[in-house]
Amino acid sequence: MFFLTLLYKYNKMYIMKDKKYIKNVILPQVKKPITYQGNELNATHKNLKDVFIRFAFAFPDLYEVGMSHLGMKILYGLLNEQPDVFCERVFAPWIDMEKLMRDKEVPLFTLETMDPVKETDILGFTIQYEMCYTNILNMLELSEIPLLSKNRTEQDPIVIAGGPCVCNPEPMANFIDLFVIGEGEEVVLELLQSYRHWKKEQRNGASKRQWLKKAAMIEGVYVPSLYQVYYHEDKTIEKIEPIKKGLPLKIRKRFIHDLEDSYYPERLIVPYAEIVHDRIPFEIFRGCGRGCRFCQAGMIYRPTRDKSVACIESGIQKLVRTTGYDEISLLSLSSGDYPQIETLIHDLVQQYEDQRISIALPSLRIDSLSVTMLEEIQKIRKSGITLAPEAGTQRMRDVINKGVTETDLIQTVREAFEKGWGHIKLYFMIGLPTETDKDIFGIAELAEKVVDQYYEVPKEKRNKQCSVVVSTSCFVPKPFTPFQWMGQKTLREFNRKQTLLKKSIKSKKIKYNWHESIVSFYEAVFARGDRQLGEVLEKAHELGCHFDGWHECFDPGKWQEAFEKTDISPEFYALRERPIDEVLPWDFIDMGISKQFLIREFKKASMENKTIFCRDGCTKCGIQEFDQGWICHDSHEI
Amino acid sequence: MQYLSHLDQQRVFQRAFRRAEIPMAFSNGFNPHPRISFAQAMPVGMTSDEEYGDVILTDEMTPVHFVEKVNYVMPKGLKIKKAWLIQSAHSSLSASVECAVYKIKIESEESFQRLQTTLEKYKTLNTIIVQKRNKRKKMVDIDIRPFIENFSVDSLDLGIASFELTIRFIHQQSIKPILVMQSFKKLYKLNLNFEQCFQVHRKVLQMGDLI
Ligand code: SF4
Repeated sequence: MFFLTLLYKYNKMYIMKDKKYIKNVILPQVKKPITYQGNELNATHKNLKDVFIRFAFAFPDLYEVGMSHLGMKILYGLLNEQPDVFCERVFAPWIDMEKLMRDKEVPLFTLETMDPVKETDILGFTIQYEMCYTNILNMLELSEIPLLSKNRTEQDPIVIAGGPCVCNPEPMANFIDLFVIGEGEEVVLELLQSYRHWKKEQRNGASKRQWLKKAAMIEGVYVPSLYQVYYHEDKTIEKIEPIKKGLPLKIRKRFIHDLEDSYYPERLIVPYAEIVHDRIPFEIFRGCGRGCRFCQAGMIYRPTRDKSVACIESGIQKLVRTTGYDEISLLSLSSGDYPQIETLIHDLVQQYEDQRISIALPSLRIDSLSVTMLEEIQKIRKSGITLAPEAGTQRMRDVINKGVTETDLIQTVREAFEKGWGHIKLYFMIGLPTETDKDIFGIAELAEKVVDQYYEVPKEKRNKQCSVVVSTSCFVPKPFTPFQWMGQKTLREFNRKQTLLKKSIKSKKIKYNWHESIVSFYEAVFARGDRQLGEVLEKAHELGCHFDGWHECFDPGKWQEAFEKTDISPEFYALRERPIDEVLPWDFIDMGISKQFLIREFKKASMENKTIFCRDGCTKCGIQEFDQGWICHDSHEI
Repeated sequence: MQYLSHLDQQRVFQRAFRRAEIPMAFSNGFNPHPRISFAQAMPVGMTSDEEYGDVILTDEMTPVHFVEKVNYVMPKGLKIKKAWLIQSAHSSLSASVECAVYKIKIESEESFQRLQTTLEKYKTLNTIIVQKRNKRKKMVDIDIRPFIENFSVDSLDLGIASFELTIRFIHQQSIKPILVMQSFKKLYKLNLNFEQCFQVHRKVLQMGDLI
């Protein structure tokens, strides 16, 4: 008798998907309950009565990863500044949590209110890497939202996406209602303004489709259902066109002109759980003028825009007060290139040394790095040094336009060893265009030379321990880079190169780590994929692919099956060298840099010719023509 | 505040003290950290009414001022109830813990009566041997009876039984409440369901002569 009442009670709970049920029954059974419960310091809570638009900001990976991401922090703060908008966070539940949610029929919920994602107006994904595509599909399914955009009803939230990956939005075109191309700070507010209007009119029968058509006129917005792709018989693209007159033929990216005055949060959520980058991130400039030919970020985030020292320092001060973090990380694509970097670091160290707050500079170039500077910031904590020569020989570095020389590297490590560092990490890529075995041996030789430097430093001066870690990743050609036409090397070729390198490393002081090539292969497929891949993604999702960026979850067998079942060749996308005149799936997107510039750079690469740093002279990448009136201040004509 | 690991808890206080601009003392060495310690590590998943901890400061400040400053910046669900100033080095906090009182809630298909009578029987036992993983991850037998100071069942409501359990500390050693609950369930083959609903709440931590 008694037992029956109990069962009844739980059944009712399932139907209600009660928040207490999640807290008391679901969370105690998972490994990291704290990452699903929200309520952290500085998280935003609003009275739903005052809210007109509910926005679920989704990061398609774990809480610990998503919470470390700067873009999310900026947009979360910015959206919540709007009085009638409530932005909440959603992450991908880890496998244990996902299983429970499916078993107990608990839909995906937001951290702030634990309300089902489905109850929000807009669900916005930020897409940082290709290998999270299946997580997005999984999150849609867990939210009980139809996977395909065309199957969604008026009741479903509008699903939007942004982030660096969407500079080629096509592989996700079937699943996303609307993409935001470029930097989001301004365009997201314009979108919300237009949405607000529509939501008020909705009562009079205005449909979602009507709104999407309106939104498609906003610069930086791409609505895939309004564009049609025509293919040649060989499956290459003939053209991509809007289905109606009046829609933009090219989607132009957005970028913030004045970074100094653009929104930056004054408080950040401070998680209880330890996250990947558990510290204050502070963006010091955006864009990069170095022009490394493999680097997508360096191309798509042009032009370079700085913040002033004063703006950075006052921003950091506020964040130290509101968070209590003990580390500040100065973010940009190449922090050593910040014009007043020495002043900035000196000031910050002076100000925060007593409180034992340390400063981190995550992306430093070898030539812009002064060891004295590193010494200053590491007075408090002396960790290792990470350097990225990217390639083993000067010839190869010239091809990719990584302007550093062997002398730069040797000088830097020598100085570091003299000052007592012992641990050095070196990053390289393998499978770069025109690479030969000589370039692979070059990596080993360079690492050996680094070790030699250690022994040249007198015993009493140097660190007792010396370790050099060599890491290689497999090169993935990306859209909007001069290498966008190149075929990726085959898996066999990658594995051969890795073995070759392993064999040619002699010193016991050198440790070699490498990334698995198979993941890079699929990354290459989706980076330069087109709409046809939507079918593959759906199949892969059906087969259970998720968290493909996580070693323990990635299942190459399932991916192979997904491609076979849909009769689509992954090699067509990853390995094929594309002719310069082929229509590329992302050609209708304008990221500001011109195709002519990319072709020029591609040709220069094959001639092993370098291109100079923007600050030393403008090489006309096209951004000034893209945005009439924009002037790159720190460069001069050559 | 639930599901804070010991390290999470450490970080929460460190950051709160920084926000409150408390002059914390730091350890020496390459990785200096604030000198904060807690009397008892909180097992993950447990909630509690009160915990004890200490922090070493470089400048003196009044306890009232300290509490006020820190509570102002504490996250929701955590609060400093009281602070004492201890001038010089004292014995460690964890050495002064005498006993802990827990409230335990668990799903039960047994009647209140059955729980009560078996519990009385359980308490008359002189030794209760259970298996426990030691620090080297090996399973060893230990007698948990000496640690159990008091154990009672308070209520049974909608299939959820509430217990109160007092655990004594012997030479700074104690046991987790779940060990007691599991042995109790196993000995009398009780229908207690740890899977569905199991909550442990620490009500009191009794300290010895220190405070
Ligand atoms: S326009 Fe010239 S200076 Fe500006 S980003 Fe392009 S190449 Fe660099």
